[in-house]
Amino acid sequence: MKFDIVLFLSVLILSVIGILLIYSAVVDTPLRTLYLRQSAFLLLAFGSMFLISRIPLRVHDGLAYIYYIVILLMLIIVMLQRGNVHRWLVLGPIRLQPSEFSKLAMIFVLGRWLRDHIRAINSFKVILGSFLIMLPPFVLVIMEPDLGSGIVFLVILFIMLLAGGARFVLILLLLNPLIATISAFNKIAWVIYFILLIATLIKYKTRFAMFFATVTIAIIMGSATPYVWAKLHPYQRQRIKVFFNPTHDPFGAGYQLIQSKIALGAGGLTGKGFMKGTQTRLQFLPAKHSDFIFAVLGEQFGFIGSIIIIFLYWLIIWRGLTIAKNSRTPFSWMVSLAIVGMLTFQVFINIAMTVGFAPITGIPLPFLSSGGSSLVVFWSAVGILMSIYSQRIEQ
Amino acid sequence: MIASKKSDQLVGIIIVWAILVIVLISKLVAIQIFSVDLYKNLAKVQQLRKKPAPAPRGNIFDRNGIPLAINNLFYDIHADPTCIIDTNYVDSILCRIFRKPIGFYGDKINTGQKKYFVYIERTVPPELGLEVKESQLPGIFVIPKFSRIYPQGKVGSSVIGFVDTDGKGLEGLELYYDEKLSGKSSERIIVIDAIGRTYPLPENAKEPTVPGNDLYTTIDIRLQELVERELERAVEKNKADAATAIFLDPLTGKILSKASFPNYDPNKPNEYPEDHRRNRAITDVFEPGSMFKIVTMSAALTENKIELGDTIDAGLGICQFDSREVEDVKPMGLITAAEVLIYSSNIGIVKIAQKLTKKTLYKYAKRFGFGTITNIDFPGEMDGVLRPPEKWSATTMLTLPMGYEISSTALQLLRAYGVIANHGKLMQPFIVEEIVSFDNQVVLRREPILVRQVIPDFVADSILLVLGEVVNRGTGRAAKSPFIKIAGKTGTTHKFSEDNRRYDKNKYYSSFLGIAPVEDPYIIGIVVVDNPKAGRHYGGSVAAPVFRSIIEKAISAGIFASSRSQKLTIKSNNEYEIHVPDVKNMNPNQALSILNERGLIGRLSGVGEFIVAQLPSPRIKLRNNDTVTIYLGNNMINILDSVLVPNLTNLSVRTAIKKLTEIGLDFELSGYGKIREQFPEPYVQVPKNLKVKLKCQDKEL
Repeated sequence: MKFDIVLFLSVLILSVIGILLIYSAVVDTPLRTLYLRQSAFLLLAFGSMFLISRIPLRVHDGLAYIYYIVILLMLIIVMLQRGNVHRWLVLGPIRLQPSEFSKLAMIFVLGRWLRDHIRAINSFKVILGSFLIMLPPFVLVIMEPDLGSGIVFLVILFIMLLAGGARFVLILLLLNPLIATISAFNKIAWVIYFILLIATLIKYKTRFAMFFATVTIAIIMGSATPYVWAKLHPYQRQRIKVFFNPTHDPFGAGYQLIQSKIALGAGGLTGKGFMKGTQTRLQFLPAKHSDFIFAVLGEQFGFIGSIIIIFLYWLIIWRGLTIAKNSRTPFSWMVSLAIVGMLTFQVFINIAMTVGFAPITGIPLPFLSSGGSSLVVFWSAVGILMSIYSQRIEQ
Repeated sequence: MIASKKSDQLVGIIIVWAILVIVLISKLVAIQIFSVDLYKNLAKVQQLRKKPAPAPRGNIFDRNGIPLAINNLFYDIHADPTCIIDTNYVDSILCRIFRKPIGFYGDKINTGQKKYFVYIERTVPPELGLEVKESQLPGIFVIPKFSRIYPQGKVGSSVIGFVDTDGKGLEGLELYYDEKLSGKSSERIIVIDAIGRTYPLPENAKEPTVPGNDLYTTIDIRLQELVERELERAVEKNKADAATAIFLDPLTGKILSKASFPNYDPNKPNEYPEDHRRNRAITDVFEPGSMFKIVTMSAALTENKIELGDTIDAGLGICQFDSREVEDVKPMGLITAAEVLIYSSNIGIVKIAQKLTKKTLYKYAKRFGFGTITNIDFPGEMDGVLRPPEKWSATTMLTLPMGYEISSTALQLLRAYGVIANHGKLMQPFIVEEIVSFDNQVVLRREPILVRQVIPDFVADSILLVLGEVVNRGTGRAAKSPFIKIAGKTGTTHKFSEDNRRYDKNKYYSSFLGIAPVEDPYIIGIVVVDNPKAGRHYGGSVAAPVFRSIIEKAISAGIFASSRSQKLTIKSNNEYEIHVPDVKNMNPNQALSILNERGLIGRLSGVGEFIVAQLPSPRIKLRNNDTVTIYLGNNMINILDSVLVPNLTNLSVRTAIKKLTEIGLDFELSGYGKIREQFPEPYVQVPKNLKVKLKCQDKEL
C-alpha cells in the first residue's frame, strides 16, 4: 500500500466540510459562487497531491535552492505591484498567493541547508545561516503585508532546527530579538519572557558574554517595540490591539472576536443545523469564509462539530508523526516534522484566534478556510508526506 | 539519526500538541457549553428587534354603510443607530424626503450612537412613509400608526363619541364598545443583519395583531344630519339653551338618530366645552308632564274603567281635589275621554286616574318602563325616578297621572310611546345592530327584543288614533303635515333647577313626541327643547314644528325609502329637486365650484387635501341654497370602495395573489420564495385596485 488511507480520508473529509461551510457562509453575499471556486481548487489540490506523492523526496532535495529562488522572484514580482496590498500573483483567471507556496519552498530549502550541515548543526554559523535563508522571504511577506505567513516561517525554522538536533538554547538566542520584540507589545508578556529567558540561560550554563549580550538584546528590542508599533500597518496594529483588550468596544476593535464568540456560543452543544447559522447569514461574523470559518462551523454544528473537526486534525497529525517516525533520511525527517508543525501551528492559532486566545493574525485554517493557494499548498504537503510514506514501503 | 532521539523529539511534540488541544477544548467547553445562554442572548440582542404592530380600531358605520369613524394611517419613522454604517448616506436621503438641511438627521443618529432607537419623524403621512420605506435605508424603520378620524365631523358626535390620543374610547359608542373596537395590538419581531437589512421572522405570530371589530349601527347619518340641523335651527329660533332628539323605529327599537345641540367635533373634542358632549337624551332627567298622560289613559282603558267615548267633566279649568287645585290651560267643560288627551286636560286625566288604585297606576307606569333604564347599548344612561306607592305623598295621585312626581329621560319616554306605536309591545332600544370582525365573522347580530306586551293591541291602536287627533285638532296642531299623518303628544314641564333643588317657574322643557304615519308607524321621535326664551314655551308651539319639519324633510330626501313607507305614496315636494353631486376624493376648490353650479352651498370641515366624506350623501335631493358639508382628510380613500389589506406574511405567492385578487387588490412582486414583507402593512384600509407591494425571499432563518 503506497497510500496512507487514514491521512487521505481525513484531509478529504475536512476539505469537503470546508466547501459546505463556505457555501453556508457566502450564500447570501456577492461572493455566492466562492464555494464553486473552492471545489475547483480542491480538484486541483487533489491532482497536485497525487502528482507530488509520486515524486521521490530526493527530487525536492535537489531542487530546493531553485524553489527558493523562484519563490523569491514571485514575492518580489508581487511586491512590485501597485496598491497597498501585494498578496496576489494574477495569472489570467487564477490568483495565486506566493506567500502560501513559499511555506513549502521554505521547508525544502531549510531542509537542504540543515541536511548539508547536519553534523555541525549546533554551530553558530549553521544556525545563523538558516536564519539568513529565512529572512528575505520573511521580510517580503511581512511587507505584503501578511503577518500570519511571516510567523509561520518562524515556526518552520524553529521546528526544523529542533528536528535537526539543534540545542534549544541556541535557537532561543537566535530568535531572542524577535520574541523580545513581539512580547513587548504587552508589558507583562515581556516580563514573563524575560524571566524565562534568564532561567533558560542559567540552566544551560551560558557563558557570561553571551548571557550579557542576549539580555541586552532582549531589553533593547523590547523598548524599541513602540517605534516599530508606529510603523505597523493600521489594521495590523488594530488586530494586535484587539488581542490585548477584545471586549473594550463592542462596535469597534473587538467586534470580530465578540461576533465569533457569539457564533460559537449560540451554536451550543449540537449547533443550529446546516444553513441555520444566523450570526453567519446575517453578516455579523467577519471574514467568515476565511479566517473565521471555525466559528461558522461552531454555530451550525456546535461543540460536537468542533470536536469532530479537532479529531480529524488529530488524525492528520498522528499520521504525519507516524510517517516522520518511520522516515529514513534526515531530510525527510525534518521535512515531515516541519509539515506537521506548520499544520499544527496554523490549526492551533486559527482556532485559538476564533475563541479569543490568540491575536487575529490572518492565519487560515488548513483545508477548511476558503483560499485556493492554501488548499493546494496543504494538499501538496500531504502529497509530500505520502511520498515519504511510499519511500519507506519501497525500502 | 538515532532512533531514540527521534522518539524523544516525537514525545515532546505530542506533549506540546496535547497541551494545545486541551487548552482549545477547554475554551470551547467554556464557550459552547457553559456560556451558551450568554451568547445566545447576545445573538438575540443584536439580531432581533421588536417593532410595534398596532391593531387598527374597528370602523363604525351607519345603517347604510356610511362611515362614521375610521382610521387614518400614519407612520412613525425611527432609526437604529447601531446598524447604520453610512450615516451620511442615510442622512442625505432622509433630508431630501423631509426637506431638511443636510445633517439634520445625521445629528439625531449620531447622538443616539449607543442606543437601538432614535425617532426620526413622527406621524408622517403615508406617501412620505412609503418613500422612506422604498429607499430601503439600512437601520431605518417605518412603523404604521393609526389615528381616528370622524369623517362626518360634528354630525353624529353624540352617538359616536370619541377616543383619546391613545385611541381609547372616551364617550359614546367608542366608550361603550371600546373593547370590541380596539382589537389586539402586538409586537412584530424582525431579524436584522449587520448592515441594517431586515427580514421578518417566519414563525412570528405567537399572539398576532387582531384588528378591532367593525360596528354597524342602526343610525341613519342622513337623518342624523337633518335632525342636528333642525335642532340647531330650533335652538336659534327659540333662543333655547339646548335641544335634543331621538328617533327610532317602533317595531324594532332601532335608534335611527340620537342628536343633541350644541354638539362638538369628535376630531377635536377638546376645543369644545364639556357641556356640549352631554348625551342629553339619555342622561338628562326631567318630568314628563302631559306626555305621561297616555300611561294613565292606557291603564284606565285596559282595566276597563273607562272608554274613549265616555264623557268627563273638565269644568271651568280649575278643579279642587282633596288637597290640591288642578288647573287646565283653558275651561273645557264636558269632553270625551279621548279629548282629555287631545286637549291635554289635567283635570280630565286626574278624574280618570281616580278610577284607578295607586297600585294599578304604579303597575302601568312600571310596565311602560318608567323608573328603569332602557339598557340601551350606550354609556351613562340614567333611570329617572318612579317611587313605589308606599312612598307616595297625599297628592301623588293628583300629580302623577299628569306626569309630575316622576322623572324620566327622553329615551325612556320614547320607549313608552313605542308601546302605543307598536300595538302595545315594549321594545328594547339599541344602536349597534351588528359587530363584524376584520375577517368578516359576525361577532354579534342583534335581533329586535320584545321586552313585554304592556297593553292589549286594540288599546294601543285606539290611543294611537287619539294621538293622531292631538295633531289633527289638539295641542299638537303645529306638527300637522300635508304629506304624512302624524300622531303625537306635546309636553311642557318646568325645568328642575340644580341650584334651588326645585322646579323653576320660568324655565321649561318644551317637548313633542311624534309618531308617523298614524296608519302604520315606522318612525317615532321625541324633540326636547331646553329652556326656550323667545316667548313661546309650549311643546306644541316650540317642539312640534321641529318634529314635523324633520319628518317632512326626511321623507322628501328619501331617507325612509327603504322603510315600510314604500307602500305609502308620498307627494313629491317640488322644492327638493337638486341632486347632491358626489364630490368625494376631489380637492376642496373643485368640490365647492361643482356644488355652486348646482345651487348648493358647500361648507368645509376638517383639514386635508382631499374630501373624504360628504353630507348629505350623493343620492339625496336638496333645495336651492341648502348646505352640503364636505369633510377633508389626507387619505384619498373612499371607505365604501376600500378594502382591508390582508396579512400575507409567509404565504406562498400563489395563495397571496389569490387572496388579493379576491378582494380586488392589485399586486407587485419582487424576489422569489415566500412573502416576507408587504406594503401597505396588514389591516390597513386602502382603495380597491391598489398595488400591494410584495417582497419575497427564500431565506429561512
